[in-house]
Amino acid sequence: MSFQLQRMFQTARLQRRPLFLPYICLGYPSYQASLQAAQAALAAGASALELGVPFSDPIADGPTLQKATHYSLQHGTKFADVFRMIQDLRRAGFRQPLLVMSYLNLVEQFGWEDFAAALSKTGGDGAILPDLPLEKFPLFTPLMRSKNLALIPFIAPTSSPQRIKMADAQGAPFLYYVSVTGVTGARKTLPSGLLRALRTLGDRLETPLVVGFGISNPAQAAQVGKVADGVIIASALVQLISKTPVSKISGVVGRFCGQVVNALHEF
Amino acid sequence: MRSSRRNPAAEPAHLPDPEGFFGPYGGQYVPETLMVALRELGEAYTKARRDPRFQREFQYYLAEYDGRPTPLTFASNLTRALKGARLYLKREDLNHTGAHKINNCLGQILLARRMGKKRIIAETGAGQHGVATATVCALFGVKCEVFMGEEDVRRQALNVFRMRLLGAQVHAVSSGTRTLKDAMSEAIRDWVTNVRTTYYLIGSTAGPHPYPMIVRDFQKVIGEEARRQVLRQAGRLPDALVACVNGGSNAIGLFYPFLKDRQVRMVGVEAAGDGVKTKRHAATMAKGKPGILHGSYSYVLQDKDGQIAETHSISAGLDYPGVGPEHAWLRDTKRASYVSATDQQALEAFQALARHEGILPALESAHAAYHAMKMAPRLSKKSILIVNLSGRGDKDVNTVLERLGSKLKGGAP
Ligand SMILES: Cc1ncc(COP(=O)(O)O)c(C=O)c1O
Repeated sequence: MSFQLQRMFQTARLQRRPLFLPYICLGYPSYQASLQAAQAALAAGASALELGVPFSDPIADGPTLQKATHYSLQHGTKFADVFRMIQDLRRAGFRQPLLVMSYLNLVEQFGWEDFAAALSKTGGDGAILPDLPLEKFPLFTPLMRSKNLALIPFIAPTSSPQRIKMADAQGAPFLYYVSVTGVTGARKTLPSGLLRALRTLGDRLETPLVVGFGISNPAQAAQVGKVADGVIIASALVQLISKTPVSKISGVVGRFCGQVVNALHEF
Repeated sequence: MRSSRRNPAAEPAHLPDPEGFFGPYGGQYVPETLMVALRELGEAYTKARRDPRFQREFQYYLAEYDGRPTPLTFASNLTRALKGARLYLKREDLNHTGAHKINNCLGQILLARRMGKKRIIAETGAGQHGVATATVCALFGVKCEVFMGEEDVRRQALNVFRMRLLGAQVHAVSSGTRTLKDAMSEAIRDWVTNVRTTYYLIGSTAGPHPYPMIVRDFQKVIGEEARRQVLRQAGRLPDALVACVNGGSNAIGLFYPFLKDRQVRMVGVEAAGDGVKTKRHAATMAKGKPGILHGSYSYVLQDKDGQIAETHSISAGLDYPGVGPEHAWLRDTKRASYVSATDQQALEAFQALARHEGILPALESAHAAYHAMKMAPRLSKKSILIVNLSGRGDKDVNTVLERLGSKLKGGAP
């Protein structure tokens, strides 16, 4: 379904409508609650979902995601649950792209072939692995692409022009731009210079650019949306879920995602 | 991991390859934010390594600050008692700060200075590497912050205080299992955040390339000295080298200069805790599978899903669930072998060294000593064993007291 991602970004550019990709932590606070959160986000107009599979040692994550993923693991979440989640979302009729976000070791232990097969069979669209370096993409993109699955490259504020070029050349449906030199986590303000950096970067890139890390609310999303093809919100959404009684998660997530979608469409 | 480039003919002494691989092991599996920093570090190190001024400076501090060379002591009493191979002890316990860790810290702080970094961070388990890092930071007047699992902060209160005395700030890490692996994850997160100004001083042959290579190179002085010393004292090369293995820095430091001496066996000893058949151990080589932890592909203790396992050892300095990539490669190529010793066995060796040789070894080193004591009686009296006594046992006296205070036999009450 990677073609679908590609088309989605093309359309978004033509219509000048930035996409919204919320992150949902699998099994937080329970499988059912996370499924409901995912459904609410998709129903509220999320363009695609990042389904986070907890890893015991998430080196790219700040305290919010550390706590949520730790809790989820303590309560028995297994890697294979993500395929069940994808299946459940497809059965419920949602068509938007679904991306697995996790750490390399889990995919490695599951086995790349099996991972690609299961993802493709259940209707997933690809994977985002922050600790898979660009240098290793050639080992896995052919396999993923053969099943019409995407592997999303990262670029960071510290990336050299060479590495940015290398990421751009992967033929991915989008690049994940880490907006801060740092780990995931909601922040009060956007990093200074982010919008300027994005403008220059956007001019140099063929591949659409999606910005994540530290975007916390609809207003910030709208600001970033002016200079990027899409935004990701993770920690702020997980924080919201952590403060919400289970029975209300659906409503709260739906409302928040709806607000972000509206903000992105307004300008 | 499918290896990008495998060169079976490569001499182990020439590894890692330019991308940081020892066979399939090693590499740089880190977030993109750090890739440029690792490249910078690699380039700075390559230049420093070739620079005679850097090497002279390193040698100066090893000699005049750390007190090297450390002796190679013939353990005559223990040898007599065991009725077998001649046992030699490489006395890394006599380093300043009491363990081999300072060798690496001196090398890396000089490198950090060359790179113009003003803030040093480090992870620590037992606190030995934290103390050594705090020490070199005090010496060179740079800011030092040490990450330590909450559980270890509690177990190693004295070392926490030592670090503070030395001017370091200690951050208790409350995530995950609250031990060394979590301290290392937190240090990596700090580095991701402050990468432009901060130097991450890793304490073992773990983490992404070039760390396993850098740490090895700064620790290989152990083996270089031991090789010269044993040739001088015994007139020949040893039959085997024995060292404890956590990340593997003291072991690789001893092994590396002997890699080409094919007749010299190398044995790494991991912590078996309550026993490798129980769930409470840290025997990565015996029970782990290849996987990715902290940026490196190597053997890792993990569950079926790939979640990193909890570990146990009486030694806080042996409970890392991973192992350096070079050791994984030495094991696969059968150049070195890896065994384990339990808490109980380490305590036995701890007492034996105390009674026979007047040396209180670190509990980490006692694991190696135990295995050597097991090997010795099976070897001829002409054989030579070198045990790396990686550290002194003062830090462990409390732990030992808890375990056998009431059971201690002999001596005054
Ligand atoms: C005295 C001593 N020996 C050995 C170790 C194990 O580390 P490595 O395997 O890197 O030598 C430690 C770690 O803290 C230590 O303090």
